[in-house]
Amino acid sequence: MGQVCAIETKAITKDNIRPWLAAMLEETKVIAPEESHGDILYEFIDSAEEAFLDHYEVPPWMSIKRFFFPQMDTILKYKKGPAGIIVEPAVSELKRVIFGVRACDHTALTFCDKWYTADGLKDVYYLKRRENSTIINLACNKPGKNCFCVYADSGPFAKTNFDVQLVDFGDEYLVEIGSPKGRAITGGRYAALFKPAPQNAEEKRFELLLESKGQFKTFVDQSTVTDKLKKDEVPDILWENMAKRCQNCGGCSYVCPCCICFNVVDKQISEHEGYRIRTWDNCTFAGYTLMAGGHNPRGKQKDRFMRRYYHKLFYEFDKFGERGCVGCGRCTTTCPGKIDMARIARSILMRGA
Amino acid sequence: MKKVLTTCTYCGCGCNFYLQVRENEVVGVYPSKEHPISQGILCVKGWNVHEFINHPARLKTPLIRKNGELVPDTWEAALKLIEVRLNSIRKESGPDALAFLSSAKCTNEENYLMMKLARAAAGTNNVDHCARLCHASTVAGLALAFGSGAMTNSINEIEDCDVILVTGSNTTEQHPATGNRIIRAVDKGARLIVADPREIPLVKYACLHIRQRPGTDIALFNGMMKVIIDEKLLDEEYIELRTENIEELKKIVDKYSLEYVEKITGVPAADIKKAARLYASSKKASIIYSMGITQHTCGTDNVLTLANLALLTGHVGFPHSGINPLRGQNNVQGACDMGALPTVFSGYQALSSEDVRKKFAKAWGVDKLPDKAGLTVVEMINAAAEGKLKALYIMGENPMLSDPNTEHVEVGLKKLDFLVVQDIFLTETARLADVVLPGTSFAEKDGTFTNTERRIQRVRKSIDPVGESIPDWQIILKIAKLLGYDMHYDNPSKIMEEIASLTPIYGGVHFDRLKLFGLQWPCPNREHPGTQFLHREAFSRGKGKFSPIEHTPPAEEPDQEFPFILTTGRMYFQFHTGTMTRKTSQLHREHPEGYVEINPADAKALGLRGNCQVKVSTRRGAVITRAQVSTIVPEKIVFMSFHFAEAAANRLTNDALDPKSKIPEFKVCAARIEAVR
Ligand code: SF4
Ligand code: SF4
Ligand code: SF4
Repeated sequence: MGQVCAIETKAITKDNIRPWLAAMLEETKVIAPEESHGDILYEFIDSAEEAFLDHYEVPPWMSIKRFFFPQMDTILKYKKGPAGIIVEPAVSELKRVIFGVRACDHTALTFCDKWYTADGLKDVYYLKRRENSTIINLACNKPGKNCFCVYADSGPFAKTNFDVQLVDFGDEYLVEIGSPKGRAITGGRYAALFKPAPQNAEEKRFELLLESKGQFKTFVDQSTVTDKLKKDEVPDILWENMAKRCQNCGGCSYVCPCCICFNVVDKQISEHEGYRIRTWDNCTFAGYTLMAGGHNPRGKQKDRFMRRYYHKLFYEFDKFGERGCVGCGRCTTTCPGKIDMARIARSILMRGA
Repeated sequence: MKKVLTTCTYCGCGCNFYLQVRENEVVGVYPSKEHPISQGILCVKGWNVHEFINHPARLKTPLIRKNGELVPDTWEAALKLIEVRLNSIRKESGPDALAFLSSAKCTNEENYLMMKLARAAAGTNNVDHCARLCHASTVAGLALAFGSGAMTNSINEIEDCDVILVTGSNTTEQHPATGNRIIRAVDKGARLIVADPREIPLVKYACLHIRQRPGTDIALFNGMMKVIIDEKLLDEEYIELRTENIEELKKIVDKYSLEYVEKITGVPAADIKKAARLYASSKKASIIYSMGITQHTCGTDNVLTLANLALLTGHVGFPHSGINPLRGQNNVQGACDMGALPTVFSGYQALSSEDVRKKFAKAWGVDKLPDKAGLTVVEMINAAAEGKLKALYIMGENPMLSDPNTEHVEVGLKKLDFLVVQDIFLTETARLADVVLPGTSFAEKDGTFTNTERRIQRVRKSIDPVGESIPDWQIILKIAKLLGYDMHYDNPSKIMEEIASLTPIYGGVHFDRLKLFGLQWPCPNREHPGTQFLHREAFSRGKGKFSPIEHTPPAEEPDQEFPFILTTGRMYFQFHTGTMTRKTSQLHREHPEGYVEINPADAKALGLRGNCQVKVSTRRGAVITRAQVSTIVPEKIVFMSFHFAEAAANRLTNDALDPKSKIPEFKVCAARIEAVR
């Protein structure tokens, strides 16, 4: 790590961003940040004008997870006919470019890739969407107030695996191209919109990165927390006290770009016809581990809550060498009980023996 | 895919979220981060609101009963039948043989049209809705004491209170966004008093939990007032300048000594004292209550008693201090504001005033409007059972589960000559109808909802109506026409223009002003910014009025045959009669069935084990459900929720009414528990 994995660098003036988006819109669907009632949200845009390109507090509200793993996704349809049951899987074939993705969300996506291909399984619904997407990252020169990606080693600039990453140089963006997909949207018919990278690009990039790293306000020492969990050093009472503040809203998993749990249910249209959906789930719900017959191996809120953090900071680290938290800080906003990742980590570090 | 900002259809907090739409289907939801209530947070119901909208069980065509069965038919046939039946019933038995149930789930515009339909088109004041079952006593009580029956403060003010008294409200479960503000206040150092027989989740944050026996609230608060008076903790200046009738109050309250109150309520004298001192000696003190206060035969008196307590200590008319009834449904505040009630027009303008009637008659282009007060929800059922009410038109309500004494409701509804139900699913009530009309969910129409803090907010259409369903406001226009009365509006914003012109508290409300996050009434004119808290310098009625109130026992008390007190309520993962939440997989999974909460000591005495089947019976009926053995309820008190048709708590509840507001006593009745072997 550490090394920037761009295969080519260019630059683009800010004035050329909208024309670039417009040109891409002629060929494919484009998702970009939009402004709506004060919120900054990723959404499909119909015209380049709809994209919000001014400064805003990062990251945009709600991650790009839902474009790969929708909140409610029809995964197959079934019909009983004279010839037996016909099952029709519903895999999305839509090609799209996602513009303005922040390093945390991008890292989360590469983390989810591991889950969706783990143990020899391949999740076709997710992987197809992944294959059909080209991602344009936008590096963060100024972190938001809840951000702590720098401590999760996932930002504020993406290091690897991106298709394209833009770094804000003031009047223009440095364009780092990292993959053939990235080449495809910066070369060919788009090439005229770009120019060569400036002379001092590397130094300037380095300075901006340092400057950005110096501005983080939320400190989360994840590796010490992982250590403490590994050694079972967090006293029970701490978990009890945090867990009892949980309001069971489910929000922490819903907003988290690294949470991948889902539930599968069938919906009947008629006796002969129906469809199967999968929906986002949350491990803090009692129903998540409830078994037929009423037994619940994690019947207590504390057990469920504790497991969420063991899972994110310890089990996943063990399995993939990466934690299930990229430090986007969205759970800090959405948790009504104020027991989000940053606060939990802090209280474990401060109070946990 | 696109996203549409709209207002939540579940509780009265009024969170705003974005519905995510793909190919005319709602496939997801997420909270607005900038909205003053949601602030990036939703409760589990809000986070799962998308799932029921396109559920396959949605009603997609009208249904007509043929040979005893409801079968799909065309709009034309359904409307024709309604036209013939309603008109012939009205001709034979007069307009008062017709009644209309409006809906706290529907928009303000729809509620306004519904009451206009009843009054101007059908010619009857028989129009009511489920507010009767939750806060009729609030509207009556607070109107008497202050002149205005709504939350005095705003949700966001709660966060900065010094003392919060929560009584009869399981706030974190029933009004999650508001409950969240209470927790924030405690985090910031506020002291929380919970007065509730059950150990609700908020108790974890409370410095004092008072467990009064159900139905003894008046005695409890009178006891607190006596402490306040005796210890001179009252706000004399405030009482002198802003209230009247204090002497009457003092006379009554004097008898409520701590010993006497302890005997009635079961609350230790020391706790009453502590609560009184805490509440009276803080500047920013707020009372938050809900149906634990209102759903009693003494509901209005309960509300008046809380008003007395607040007036005595000068705790109304300022930011953070006040009396805050939390309204249950997304738009129950609005449905009341719109006059979907048998005795008032929109904005609580009294039916009894000739001027008011003339004003509306003129605006609506009719010669005159009926002046006889109409029937309330439970009275409609009674009149139906007696054969006096012949036709009932129900929009978006499910009295078969929501009203007390279900068996009696069923008898009433079956006795009707003609029952029309307009809803989005085939509810228990719709199953009894002669004609069922498919309305639309909140995602398929434009309009406004008014949340519990009087904030009028936009509801925005995000998908086209499902199947052949039609937005409810358009259905009402069709029905009015069948009754020979033409109304025409291009869209809901035009309806709001009419509401604003006739309703002083909504006078400045226009859709173009609601673009961001709404306006709080009173908002009398276009320039007015709306009102964050009420009664700033004077009460709506001038002076705050003390009403001396005596404790009265519940209509039914436990005895040998029925030794338990049964109290009812709701739970977090379900909503109301479960029509929507039980069709949402994650919500349903948490609590797939109903249960009765019973204290371990009682369970032991009866030989009940956790999760075993039990029969709960009262004088009105019996249901079989499961025992949930838990210290959440004290001994001799059992609790059930009313979400589940198969274990319908309202088969058991008492339909005894508060004489002042006609609210039924859902919160107390006598019950017997037996093991089913
Ligand atoms: S745990 Fe919280 S901060 Fe970490 S990635 Fe998930 S939402 Fe972001
Ligand atoms: S966001 Fe907070 S309150 Fe909601 S489920 Fe997660 S931990 Fe619990
Ligand atoms: S708190 Fe109420 S308004 Fe907010 S999301 Fe939940 S049910 Fe809807």
